[in-house]
Amino acid sequence: MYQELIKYLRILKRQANRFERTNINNEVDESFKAKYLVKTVFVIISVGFVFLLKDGFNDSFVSYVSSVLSILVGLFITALIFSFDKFYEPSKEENLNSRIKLWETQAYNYAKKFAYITSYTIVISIFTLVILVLSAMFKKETRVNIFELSFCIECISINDFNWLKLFGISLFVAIQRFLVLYWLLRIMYYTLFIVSSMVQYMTTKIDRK
Amino acid sequence: MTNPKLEFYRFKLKHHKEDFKTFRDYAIDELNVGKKAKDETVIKYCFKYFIESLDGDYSKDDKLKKQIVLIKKKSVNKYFDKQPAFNSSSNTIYGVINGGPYGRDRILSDIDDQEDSSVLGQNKSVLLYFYFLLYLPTDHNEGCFIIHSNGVDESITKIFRNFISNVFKGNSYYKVQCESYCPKSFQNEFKKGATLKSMVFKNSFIENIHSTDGISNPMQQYDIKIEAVPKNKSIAISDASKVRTFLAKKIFGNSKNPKSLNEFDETKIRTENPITDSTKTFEWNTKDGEFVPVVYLKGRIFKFNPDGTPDFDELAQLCRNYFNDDVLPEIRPDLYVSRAN
Repeated sequence: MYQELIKYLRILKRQANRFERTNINNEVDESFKAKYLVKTVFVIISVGFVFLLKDGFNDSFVSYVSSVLSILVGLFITALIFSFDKFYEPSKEENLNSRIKLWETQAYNYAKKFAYITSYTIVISIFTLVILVLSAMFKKETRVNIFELSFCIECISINDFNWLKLFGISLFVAIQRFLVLYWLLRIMYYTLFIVSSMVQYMTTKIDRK
Repeated sequence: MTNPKLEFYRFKLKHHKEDFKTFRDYAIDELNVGKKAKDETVIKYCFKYFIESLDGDYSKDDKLKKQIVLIKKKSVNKYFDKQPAFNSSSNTIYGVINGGPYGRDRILSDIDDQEDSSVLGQNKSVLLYFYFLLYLPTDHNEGCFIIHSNGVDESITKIFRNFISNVFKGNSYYKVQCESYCPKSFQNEFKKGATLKSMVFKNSFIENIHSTDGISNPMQQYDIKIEAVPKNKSIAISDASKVRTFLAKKIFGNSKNPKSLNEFDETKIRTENPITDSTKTFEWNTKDGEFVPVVYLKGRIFKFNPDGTPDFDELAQLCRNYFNDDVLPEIRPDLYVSRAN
Protein backbone atom coordinates (compact mmCIF):
# COMPACT_ATOMS: atom_id res chain seq x y z
CA MET A 1 0.00 0.00 0.00
CA TYR A 2 2.85 2.34 0.80
CA GLN A 3 4.22 2.08 -2.72
CA GLU A 4 0.77 2.51 -4.21
CA LEU A 5 0.14 5.57 -2.08
CA ILE A 6 3.37 7.19 -3.23
CA LYS A 7 2.42 6.40 -6.81
CA TYR A 8 -1.10 7.82 -6.45
CA LEU A 9 0.19 10.98 -4.80
CA ARG A 10 2.81 11.51 -7.50
CA ILE A 11 0.20 11.07 -10.25
CA LEU A 12 -2.15 13.45 -8.45
CA LYS A 13 0.54 16.12 -8.07
CA ARG A 14 1.64 15.84 -11.70
CA GLN A 15 -1.89 15.89 -13.09
CA ALA A 16 -3.04 18.72 -10.81
CA ASN A 17 -0.08 20.82 -11.91
CA ARG A 18 -0.83 20.06 -15.55
CA PHE A 19 -4.57 20.67 -15.27
CA GLU A 20 -3.89 23.97 -13.56
CA ARG A 21 -2.55 25.12 -16.93
CA THR A 22 -5.06 23.21 -19.07
CA ASN A 23 -8.30 24.79 -20.19
CA ILE A 24 -11.53 22.95 -20.93
CA ASN A 25 -10.52 22.65 -24.60
CA ASN A 26 -7.50 20.58 -23.47
CA GLU A 27 -5.07 23.30 -24.50
CA VAL A 28 -2.08 23.31 -22.17
CA ASP A 29 -0.43 26.67 -21.56
CA GLU A 30 3.27 25.87 -21.57
CA SER A 31 4.41 29.45 -21.11
CA PHE A 32 6.88 30.40 -18.37
CA LYS A 33 4.27 32.75 -16.91
CA ALA A 34 1.65 30.03 -16.61
CA LYS A 35 4.11 27.62 -15.05
CA TYR A 36 5.87 29.81 -12.52
CA LEU A 37 4.20 33.22 -12.01
CA VAL A 38 1.67 32.25 -9.32
CA LYS A 39 4.14 29.95 -7.58
CA THR A 40 6.83 32.64 -7.53
CA VAL A 41 4.42 35.23 -6.12
CA PHE A 42 3.31 32.79 -3.41
CA VAL A 43 6.94 31.94 -2.53
CA ILE A 44 7.78 35.65 -2.20
CA ILE A 45 4.73 36.31 0.00
CA SER A 46 5.41 33.24 2.16
CA VAL A 47 9.09 34.12 2.66
CA GLY A 48 8.04 37.69 3.55
CA PHE A 49 5.63 36.40 6.18
CA VAL A 50 8.24 34.01 7.60
CA PHE A 51 10.39 37.07 8.28
CA LEU A 52 7.45 38.93 9.84
CA LEU A 53 6.32 36.00 12.01
CA LYS A 54 9.34 36.03 14.30
CA ASP A 55 7.73 33.92 17.03
CA GLY A 56 5.91 31.58 14.67
CA PHE A 57 2.22 30.76 14.73
CA ASN A 58 0.31 31.56 17.88
CA ASP A 59 -2.36 29.27 19.37
CA SER A 60 -5.32 31.12 17.95
CA PHE A 61 -3.84 30.99 14.44
CA VAL A 62 -3.26 27.25 14.73
CA SER A 63 -6.79 26.54 15.98
CA TYR A 64 -8.37 28.94 13.45
CA VAL A 65 -6.51 27.48 10.45
CA SER A 66 -7.10 23.90 11.63
CA SER A 67 -10.84 24.51 11.86
CA VAL A 68 -10.99 26.16 8.43
CA LEU A 69 -8.96 23.40 6.80
CA SER A 70 -11.02 20.65 8.43
CA ILE A 71 -14.21 22.22 7.10
CA LEU A 72 -12.69 22.64 3.65
CA VAL A 73 -11.48 19.04 3.52
CA GLY A 74 -14.96 17.81 4.45
CA LEU A 75 -16.60 20.09 1.88
CA PHE A 76 -14.23 19.18 -0.92
CA ILE A 77 -14.55 15.44 -0.34
CA THR A 78 -18.35 15.80 -0.54
CA ALA A 79 -18.04 17.96 -3.68
CA LEU A 80 -15.72 15.41 -5.24
CA ILE A 81 -18.09 12.52 -4.62
CA PHE A 82 -21.14 14.42 -5.82
CA SER A 83 -19.37 15.72 -8.92
CA PHE A 84 -18.48 12.18 -10.00
CA ASP A 85 -21.46 11.67 -12.27
CA LYS A 86 -22.84 15.21 -12.29
CA PHE A 87 -20.39 17.09 -14.47
CA TYR A 88 -19.96 14.60 -17.24
CA GLU A 89 -22.88 12.64 -18.58
CA PRO A 90 -22.32 11.04 -21.97
CA SER A 91 -25.29 11.48 -24.27
CA LYS A 92 -27.15 8.37 -25.30
CA GLU A 93 -28.39 9.90 -28.54
CA GLU A 94 -26.89 9.06 -31.91
CA ASN A 95 -25.67 11.53 -34.53
CA LEU A 96 -24.88 14.34 -32.13
CA ASN A 97 -24.32 17.77 -33.58
CA SER A 98 -21.04 19.62 -33.21
CA ARG A 99 -22.34 21.82 -30.43
CA ILE A 100 -23.35 18.90 -28.20
CA LYS A 101 -20.14 17.03 -29.04
CA LEU A 102 -18.13 20.09 -27.99
CA TRP A 103 -20.14 20.53 -24.79
CA GLU A 104 -19.56 16.88 -23.95
CA THR A 105 -15.82 17.10 -24.54
CA GLN A 106 -15.57 20.31 -22.52
CA ALA A 107 -17.63 18.76 -19.70
CA TYR A 108 -15.36 15.71 -19.72
CA ASN A 109 -12.23 17.90 -19.55
CA TYR A 110 -13.72 20.08 -16.84
CA ALA A 111 -14.77 17.03 -14.78
CA LYS A 112 -11.17 15.79 -14.88
CA LYS A 113 -9.72 19.18 -14.06
CA PHE A 114 -12.17 19.62 -11.20
CA ALA A 115 -11.43 16.16 -9.80
CA TYR A 116 -7.63 16.54 -9.90
CA ILE A 117 -7.52 20.07 -8.53
CA THR A 118 -10.06 19.40 -5.79
CA SER A 119 -8.25 16.21 -4.74
CA TYR A 120 -4.91 17.96 -4.74
CA THR A 121 -6.39 20.73 -2.59
CA ILE A 122 -7.62 18.10 -0.12
CA VAL A 123 -4.17 16.46 -0.03
CA ILE A 124 -2.28 19.70 0.60
CA SER A 125 -4.89 20.68 3.19
CA ILE A 126 -4.18 17.39 5.00
CA PHE A 127 -0.41 17.99 4.80
CA THR A 128 -0.92 21.52 6.14
CA LEU A 129 -3.00 20.17 9.03
CA VAL A 130 -0.33 17.58 9.82
CA ILE A 131 2.56 20.03 9.99
CA LEU A 132 0.39 22.54 11.81
CA VAL A 133 -0.38 19.93 14.48
CA LEU A 134 3.32 20.02 15.36
CA SER A 135 2.90 23.65 16.40
CA ALA A 136 0.27 22.53 18.90
CA MET A 137 2.29 19.53 20.04
CA PHE A 138 5.61 21.29 20.47
CA LYS A 139 4.55 24.79 21.41
CA LYS A 140 7.83 25.88 22.95
CA GLU A 141 10.09 24.54 20.19
CA THR A 142 8.01 25.77 17.28
CA ARG A 143 7.75 29.28 18.72
CA VAL A 144 11.46 29.82 18.75
CA ASN A 145 12.54 33.14 17.24
CA ILE A 146 15.01 32.02 14.58
CA PHE A 147 16.11 35.57 13.86
CA GLU A 148 17.59 35.90 17.34
CA LEU A 149 19.89 32.98 16.71
CA SER A 150 23.29 33.22 15.07
CA PHE A 151 25.61 30.64 13.67
CA CYS A 152 28.67 30.05 15.89
CA ILE A 153 31.40 27.72 14.59
CA GLU A 154 33.31 27.81 17.92
CA CYS A 155 30.28 26.47 19.82
CA ILE A 156 30.32 23.20 17.86
CA SER A 157 31.45 20.43 20.17
CA ILE A 158 31.59 16.66 19.85
CA ASN A 159 30.59 16.06 23.48
CA ASP A 160 27.47 18.15 23.47
CA PHE A 161 24.84 17.85 20.73
CA ASN A 162 22.61 20.71 21.86
CA TRP A 163 23.86 22.87 19.01
CA LEU A 164 22.74 20.21 16.52
CA LYS A 165 19.31 19.95 18.15
CA LEU A 166 18.88 23.72 18.08
CA PHE A 167 20.02 23.89 14.47
CA GLY A 168 17.63 21.08 13.49
CA ILE A 169 14.70 22.70 15.27
CA SER A 170 15.44 26.11 13.74
CA LEU A 171 15.69 24.65 10.26
CA PHE A 172 12.49 22.65 10.69
CA VAL A 173 10.64 25.65 12.13
CA ALA A 174 11.69 27.85 9.18
CA ILE A 175 10.58 25.20 6.67
CA GLN A 176 7.35 24.51 8.57
CA ARG A 177 6.38 28.19 8.68
CA PHE A 178 7.16 28.62 4.99
CA LEU A 179 5.24 25.49 3.93
CA VAL A 180 2.17 26.29 6.02
CA LEU A 181 1.95 29.77 4.52
CA TYR A 182 2.76 28.63 0.99
CA TRP A 183 0.22 25.79 1.07
CA LEU A 184 -2.42 28.02 2.63
CA LEU A 185 -2.02 30.44 -0.26
CA ARG A 186 -2.32 27.60 -2.76
CA ILE A 187 -5.38 26.18 -0.99
CA MET A 188 -6.97 29.62 -1.13
CA TYR A 189 -6.09 29.96 -4.82
CA TYR A 190 -7.50 26.53 -5.70
CA THR A 191 -10.61 27.09 -3.59
CA LEU A 192 -11.36 30.31 -5.44
CA PHE A 193 -10.88 28.51 -8.76
CA ILE A 194 -13.04 25.53 -7.76
CA VAL A 195 -15.94 27.65 -6.53
CA SER A 196 -15.93 30.20 -9.36
CA SER A 197 -15.51 27.65 -12.17
CA MET A 198 -18.13 25.34 -10.69
CA VAL A 199 -20.68 28.15 -10.57
CA GLN A 200 -19.85 29.12 -14.17
CA TYR A 201 -20.15 25.53 -15.33
CA MET A 202 -23.46 24.96 -13.59
CA THR A 203 -25.12 28.18 -14.75
CA THR A 204 -23.96 27.56 -18.33
CA LYS A 205 -25.38 24.06 -18.20
CA ILE A 206 -28.75 25.36 -16.98
CA ASP A 207 -28.79 27.97 -19.76
CA ARG A 208 -28.08 25.32 -22.39
CA LYS A 209 -31.11 23.33 -21.31
CA MET B 1 -4.34 36.68 -70.23
CA THR B 2 -5.99 34.68 -67.50
CA ASN B 3 -5.14 35.25 -63.89
CA PRO B 4 -6.62 32.25 -62.08
CA LYS B 5 -7.50 32.63 -58.44
CA LEU B 6 -9.33 30.95 -55.59
CA GLU B 7 -12.07 32.53 -53.57
CA PHE B 8 -13.38 31.36 -50.22
CA TYR B 9 -16.88 31.74 -48.82
CA ARG B 10 -18.54 30.52 -45.65
CA PHE B 11 -22.25 30.29 -44.90
CA LYS B 12 -24.56 29.33 -42.04
CA LEU B 13 -27.89 27.57 -42.26
CA LYS B 14 -30.72 29.84 -41.12
CA HIS B 15 -33.71 28.04 -39.69
CA HIS B 16 -36.96 29.96 -39.19
CA LYS B 17 -37.11 29.15 -35.48
CA GLU B 18 -33.97 27.48 -34.20
CA ASP B 19 -30.55 29.07 -34.17
CA PHE B 20 -28.52 25.90 -34.65
CA LYS B 21 -29.46 23.50 -37.40
CA THR B 22 -26.96 21.17 -39.00
CA PHE B 23 -26.85 20.03 -42.60
CA ARG B 24 -28.14 16.68 -41.33
CA ASP B 25 -31.18 18.52 -39.94
CA TYR B 26 -31.54 20.29 -43.29
CA ALA B 27 -31.49 16.96 -45.13
CA ILE B 28 -34.05 15.50 -42.70
CA ASP B 29 -36.34 18.56 -42.88
CA GLU B 30 -36.07 19.35 -46.58
CA LEU B 31 -34.73 16.33 -48.45
CA ASN B 32 -36.77 13.61 -46.73
CA VAL B 33 -33.79 11.79 -45.27
CA GLY B 34 -34.58 9.41 -42.39
CA LYS B 35 -33.84 10.65 -38.89
CA LYS B 36 -31.45 7.81 -38.17
CA ALA B 37 -29.72 7.93 -41.54
CA LYS B 38 -25.96 7.50 -41.60
CA ASP B 39 -23.70 10.44 -42.43
CA GLU B 40 -22.91 8.82 -45.76
CA THR B 41 -26.60 8.77 -46.69
CA VAL B 42 -27.03 12.39 -45.65
CA ILE B 43 -24.15 13.63 -47.78
CA LYS B 44 -25.32 11.42 -50.66
CA TYR B 45 -28.74 13.07 -50.59
CA CYS B 46 -27.15 16.53 -50.36
CA PHE B 47 -24.98 15.68 -53.36
CA LYS B 48 -27.98 14.41 -55.33
CA TYR B 49 -29.87 17.58 -54.46
CA PHE B 50 -26.90 19.75 -55.49
CA ILE B 51 -26.61 18.04 -58.88
CA GLU B 52 -30.37 18.23 -59.48
CA SER B 53 -30.31 21.92 -58.55
CA LEU B 54 -27.73 22.57 -61.27
CA ASP B 55 -30.60 21.92 -63.70
CA GLY B 56 -33.01 24.01 -61.64
CA ASP B 57 -34.05 27.66 -61.50
CA TYR B 58 -31.22 28.91 -59.31
CA SER B 59 -28.52 27.84 -61.72
CA LYS B 60 -29.42 30.70 -64.06
CA ASP B 61 -29.27 34.37 -63.18
CA ASP B 62 -31.03 36.74 -65.55
CA LYS B 63 -29.45 39.80 -63.95
CA LEU B 64 -25.91 38.47 -64.20
CA LYS B 65 -26.80 36.75 -67.50
CA LYS B 66 -24.83 33.75 -66.39
CA GLN B 67 -25.51 30.11 -65.87
CA ILE B 68 -23.90 27.20 -64.07
CA VAL B 69 -24.56 23.70 -65.25
CA LEU B 70 -23.07 20.27 -65.53
CA ILE B 71 -22.76 19.12 -69.12
CA LYS B 72 -23.29 15.39 -69.01
CA LYS B 73 -22.32 14.74 -72.62
CA LYS B 74 -19.00 12.96 -72.50
CA SER B 75 -18.09 14.02 -76.05
CA VAL B 76 -18.54 17.71 -75.22
CA ASN B 77 -17.39 17.95 -71.62
CA LYS B 78 -13.62 17.64 -71.77
CA TYR B 79 -13.38 17.15 -68.02
CA PHE B 80 -16.30 14.78 -67.68
CA ASP B 81 -14.17 12.43 -65.59
CA LYS B 82 -13.69 15.26 -63.07
CA GLN B 83 -17.41 15.90 -62.70
CA PRO B 84 -18.65 16.54 -59.14
CA ALA B 85 -18.38 13.73 -56.63
CA PHE B 86 -18.77 13.50 -52.86
CA ASN B 87 -16.68 12.25 -49.98
CA SER B 88 -18.75 11.26 -46.98
CA SER B 89 -15.83 11.07 -44.54
CA SER B 90 -14.85 14.69 -45.16
CA ASN B 91 -18.43 15.87 -45.93
CA THR B 92 -17.31 17.49 -49.17
CA ILE B 93 -18.65 17.76 -52.68
CA TYR B 94 -16.05 18.71 -55.25
CA GLY B 95 -15.37 18.65 -58.95
CA VAL B 96 -15.42 20.58 -62.19
CA ILE B 97 -18.66 22.23 -63.26
CA ASN B 98 -19.43 24.40 -66.26
CA GLY B 99 -20.54 27.96 -66.27
CA GLY B 100 -20.58 31.08 -68.36
CA PRO B 101 -22.54 33.95 -69.87
CA TYR B 102 -25.65 33.94 -72.04
CA GLY B 103 -28.22 36.48 -73.15
CA ARG B 104 -26.24 38.22 -75.91
CA ASP B 105 -26.55 37.96 -79.68
CA ARG B 106 -23.26 36.52 -80.74
CA ILE B 107 -21.67 34.84 -83.71
CA LEU B 108 -19.86 31.57 -83.56
CA SER B 109 -17.05 31.72 -86.05
CA ASP B 110 -13.99 29.74 -87.03
CA ILE B 111 -10.91 31.93 -86.62
CA ASP B 112 -9.40 30.52 -89.83
CA ASP B 113 -12.53 30.25 -91.90
CA GLN B 114 -15.04 33.10 -91.70
CA GLU B 115 -17.43 31.22 -93.95
CA ASP B 116 -17.79 28.68 -91.20
CA SER B 117 -19.85 30.82 -88.89
CA SER B 118 -23.24 30.57 -87.29
CA VAL B 119 -25.56 32.48 -85.01
CA LEU B 120 -25.22 32.07 -81.28
CA GLY B 121 -28.57 33.23 -79.97
CA GLN B 122 -29.45 34.82 -76.65
CA ASN B 123 -30.53 31.47 -75.29
CA LYS B 124 -27.10 29.97 -75.86
CA SER B 125 -24.45 30.12 -73.17
CA VAL B 126 -20.70 29.90 -73.59
CA LEU B 127 -19.42 27.59 -70.89
CA LEU B 128 -16.03 27.20 -69.29
CA TYR B 129 -14.70 24.82 -66.70
CA PHE B 130 -14.51 25.76 -63.03
CA TYR B 131 -13.40 23.76 -60.03
CA PHE B 132 -15.19 23.99 -56.69
CA LEU B 133 -15.07 22.33 -53.29
CA LEU B 134 -18.17 22.53 -51.14
CA TYR B 135 -18.17 21.56 -47.46
CA LEU B 136 -21.49 20.53 -45.91
CA PRO B 137 -20.81 19.20 -42.40
CA THR B 138 -23.52 16.81 -41.27
CA ASP B 139 -22.96 17.71 -37.61
CA HIS B 140 -22.55 21.47 -37.93
CA ASN B 141 -24.49 24.53 -39.07
CA GLU B 142 -21.74 26.28 -41.03
CA GLY B 143 -20.37 25.18 -44.37
CA CYS B 144 -18.04 26.73 -46.86
CA PHE B 145 -16.90 26.58 -50.43
CA ILE B 146 -13.78 27.27 -52.43
CA ILE B 147 -14.33 28.33 -56.00
CA HIS B 148 -11.84 28.88 -58.77
CA SER B 149 -12.09 31.61 -61.39
CA ASN B 150 -9.86 32.77 -64.21
CA GLY B 151 -10.26 36.51 -63.71
CA VAL B 152 -13.04 39.09 -63.54
CA ASP B 153 -14.60 38.13 -66.88
CA GLU B 154 -14.13 34.42 -66.62
CA SER B 155 -15.80 33.85 -63.30
CA ILE B 156 -18.86 32.07 -61.93
CA THR B 157 -18.18 33.14 -58.35
CA LYS B 158 -21.18 35.48 -58.07
CA ILE B 159 -23.67 33.11 -59.60
CA PHE B 160 -22.29 30.16 -57.62
CA ARG B 161 -22.60 32.22 -54.46
CA ASN B 162 -26.22 33.12 -55.29
CA PHE B 163 -26.86 29.50 -56.21
CA ILE B 164 -25.63 28.26 -52.82
CA SER B 165 -27.63 31.00 -51.05
CA ASN B 166 -30.83 29.84 -52.72
CA VAL B 167 -30.22 26.11 -52.74
CA PHE B 168 -30.13 25.95 -48.95
CA LYS B 169 -33.38 27.83 -48.67
CA GLY B 170 -36.37 25.66 -47.82
CA ASN B 171 -39.79 25.46 -46.22
CA SER B 172 -38.27 26.05 -42.79
CA TYR B 173 -35.02 27.71 -43.85
CA TYR B 174 -34.18 31.20 -45.02
CA LYS B 175 -31.67 31.94 -47.76
CA VAL B 176 -28.14 31.57 -46.49
CA GLN B 177 -25.72 34.44 -46.62
CA CYS B 178 -22.36 33.62 -48.13
CA GLU B 179 -19.58 35.68 -46.60
CA SER B 180 -16.35 36.20 -48.43
CA TYR B 181 -13.44 35.21 -46.25
CA CYS B 182 -9.86 34.13 -46.49
CA PRO B 183 -7.97 31.82 -44.14
CA LYS B 184 -5.74 33.71 -41.73
CA SER B 185 -2.71 31.77 -42.88
CA PHE B 186 -2.92 33.44 -46.31
CA GLN B 187 -3.30 36.83 -44.74
CA ASN B 188 -0.31 36.27 -42.49
CA GLU B 189 1.72 34.82 -45.33
CA PHE B 190 1.37 37.98 -47.33
CA LYS B 191 1.39 40.48 -44.50
CA LYS B 192 4.88 39.31 -43.62
CA GLY B 193 7.15 41.81 -45.31
CA ALA B 194 4.39 43.44 -47.38
CA THR B 195 4.18 47.19 -47.80
CA LEU B 196 1.29 49.43 -48.74
CA LYS B 197 1.17 50.39 -52.39
CA SER B 198 -2.15 52.14 -52.54
CA MET B 199 -5.56 52.32 -50.92
CA VAL B 200 -8.68 52.72 -53.04
CA PHE B 201 -12.10 53.80 -51.80
CA LYS B 202 -14.93 53.20 -54.23
CA ASN B 203 -18.56 54.24 -54.17
CA SER B 204 -21.37 54.78 -56.65
CA PHE B 205 -23.09 58.14 -56.45
CA ILE B 206 -26.25 59.57 -57.84
CA GLU B 207 -26.37 63.36 -57.85
CA ASN B 208 -29.08 64.47 -55.45
CA ILE B 209 -29.78 67.91 -56.89
CA HIS B 210 -31.98 68.72 -59.88
CA SER B 211 -30.35 69.69 -63.09
CA THR B 212 -31.66 70.72 -66.46
CA ASP B 213 -30.79 67.33 -67.93
CA GLY B 214 -32.92 65.51 -65.39
CA ILE B 215 -32.14 62.39 -63.41
CA SER B 216 -32.14 60.18 -66.47
CA ASN B 217 -28.88 61.65 -67.67
CA PRO B 218 -26.39 58.81 -67.30
CA MET B 219 -23.60 61.31 -66.73
CA GLN B 220 -25.13 62.06 -63.36
CA GLN B 221 -24.31 58.66 -62.05
CA TYR B 222 -20.75 58.19 -61.07
CA ASP B 223 -18.42 55.59 -59.76
CA ILE B 224 -16.11 57.59 -57.55
CA LYS B 225 -12.73 56.09 -56.95
CA ILE B 226 -10.33 57.79 -54.57
CA GLU B 227 -6.87 56.35 -54.55
CA ALA B 228 -4.30 57.20 -51.90
CA VAL B 229 -0.75 56.34 -52.89
CA PRO B 230 1.80 56.73 -50.11
CA LYS B 231 5.02 58.47 -51.03
CA ASN B 232 6.75 56.52 -48.32
CA LYS B 233 7.13 53.10 -49.88
CA SER B 234 7.97 51.34 -46.65
CA ILE B 235 4.64 51.45 -44.80
CA ALA B 236 4.17 47.97 -43.40
CA ILE B 237 0.87 46.28 -44.15
CA SER B 238 0.31 45.89 -40.41
CA ASP B 239 0.02 49.68 -40.25
CA ALA B 240 -2.59 49.77 -43.03
CA SER B 241 -5.43 49.97 -40.50
CA LYS B 242 -3.93 53.20 -39.09
CA VAL B 243 -3.73 54.65 -42.62
CA ARG B 244 -7.31 53.60 -43.26
CA THR B 245 -8.52 55.14 -40.00
CA PHE B 246 -6.81 58.40 -40.94
CA LEU B 247 -8.18 58.47 -44.48
CA ALA B 248 -11.64 57.23 -43.50
CA LYS B 249 -12.33 60.50 -41.68
CA LYS B 250 -11.79 62.51 -44.87
CA ILE B 251 -14.88 63.76 -46.60
CA PHE B 252 -16.00 63.66 -50.20
CA GLY B 253 -18.94 65.59 -51.61
CA ASN B 254 -20.18 69.07 -50.87
CA SER B 255 -20.92 70.88 -47.64
CA LYS B 256 -24.63 69.97 -47.78
CA ASN B 257 -24.10 66.33 -48.51
CA PRO B 258 -20.77 65.20 -47.13
CA LYS B 259 -19.82 61.55 -47.22
CA SER B 260 -16.83 60.25 -45.34
CA LEU B 261 -14.61 57.71 -47.04
CA ASN B 262 -15.55 55.34 -44.23
CA GLU B 263 -19.06 55.19 -45.70
CA PHE B 264 -17.81 54.16 -49.12
CA ASP B 265 -18.95 50.73 -50.22
CA GLU B 266 -15.58 49.28 -50.99
CA THR B 267 -12.05 49.68 -49.71
CA LYS B 268 -9.32 47.90 -51.57
CA ILE B 269 -5.70 47.77 -50.60
CA ARG B 270 -2.98 47.10 -53.07
CA THR B 271 0.18 45.80 -51.55
CA GLU B 272 3.55 44.75 -52.77
CA ASN B 273 5.95 42.38 -51.20
CA PRO B 274 9.59 42.98 -52.09
CA ILE B 275 10.57 39.68 -50.48
CA THR B 276 8.29 37.49 -52.57
CA ASP B 277 8.23 40.04 -55.41
CA SER B 278 4.46 39.89 -55.66
CA THR B 279 1.67 42.40 -55.81
CA LYS B 280 -1.67 41.53 -54.31
CA THR B 281 -5.05 43.09 -53.81
CA PHE B 282 -6.88 42.84 -50.51
CA GLU B 283 -10.47 43.80 -49.93
CA TRP B 284 -11.14 45.41 -46.62
CA ASN B 285 -13.88 43.63 -44.74
CA THR B 286 -15.26 46.66 -42.91
CA LYS B 287 -17.50 44.48 -40.75
CA ASP B 288 -14.67 42.57 -39.13
CA GLY B 289 -11.91 45.07 -39.89
CA GLU B 290 -9.91 42.37 -41.60
CA PHE B 291 -8.22 41.96 -44.95
CA VAL B 292 -9.66 39.52 -47.41
CA PRO B 293 -6.81 38.77 -49.77
CA VAL B 294 -7.28 37.33 -53.19
CA VAL B 295 -5.44 34.03 -53.53
CA TYR B 296 -3.93 33.96 -57.00
CA LEU B 297 -2.86 30.57 -58.27
CA LYS B 298 0.26 31.79 -60.01
CA GLY B 299 3.15 30.47 -57.97
CA ARG B 300 0.92 28.00 -56.17
CA ILE B 301 0.13 25.82 -59.17
CA PHE B 302 2.83 24.84 -61.62
CA LYS B 303 0.92 22.91 -64.26
CA PHE B 304 -1.38 24.86 -66.55
CA ASN B 305 -3.49 23.72 -69.47
CA PRO B 306 -2.62 25.12 -72.94
CA ASP B 307 -5.54 27.59 -72.65
CA GLY B 308 -4.04 29.11 -69.50
CA THR B 309 -6.44 27.46 -67.07
CA PRO B 310 -4.93 25.55 -64.16
CA ASP B 311 -4.51 21.80 -64.32
CA PHE B 312 -7.58 20.46 -62.55
CA ASP B 313 -5.82 17.54 -60.87
CA GLU B 314 -3.25 19.84 -59.30
CA LEU B 315 -5.95 22.37 -58.44
CA ALA B 316 -8.06 19.67 -56.77
CA GLN B 317 -5.08 18.60 -54.67
CA LEU B 318 -4.31 22.21 -53.77
CA CYS B 319 -7.91 22.88 -52.74
CA ARG B 320 -7.98 19.71 -50.65
CA ASN B 321 -4.76 20.76 -48.90
CA TYR B 322 -6.03 24.29 -48.27
CA PHE B 323 -9.31 22.90 -47.04
CA ASN B 324 -7.72 20.46 -44.59
CA ASP B 325 -4.83 22.64 -43.39
CA ASP B 326 -6.20 26.18 -43.47
CA VAL B 327 -9.97 26.31 -43.86
CA LEU B 328 -11.16 23.52 -41.57
CA PRO B 329 -9.21 24.62 -38.46
CA GLU B 330 -10.82 28.06 -38.78
CA ILE B 331 -14.35 27.01 -39.63
CA ARG B 332 -14.46 24.03 -37.27
CA PRO B 333 -12.26 24.76 -34.26
CA ASP B 334 -14.48 22.34 -32.32
CA LEU B 335 -13.00 19.43 -34.29
CA TYR B 336 -9.63 20.17 -32.75
CA VAL B 337 -10.84 20.06 -29.15
CA SER B 338 -9.73 16.76 -27.72
CA ARG B 339 -10.33 14.91 -24.51
CA ALA B 340 -7.73 15.30 -21.80
CA ASN B 341 -5.71 12.18 -20.98
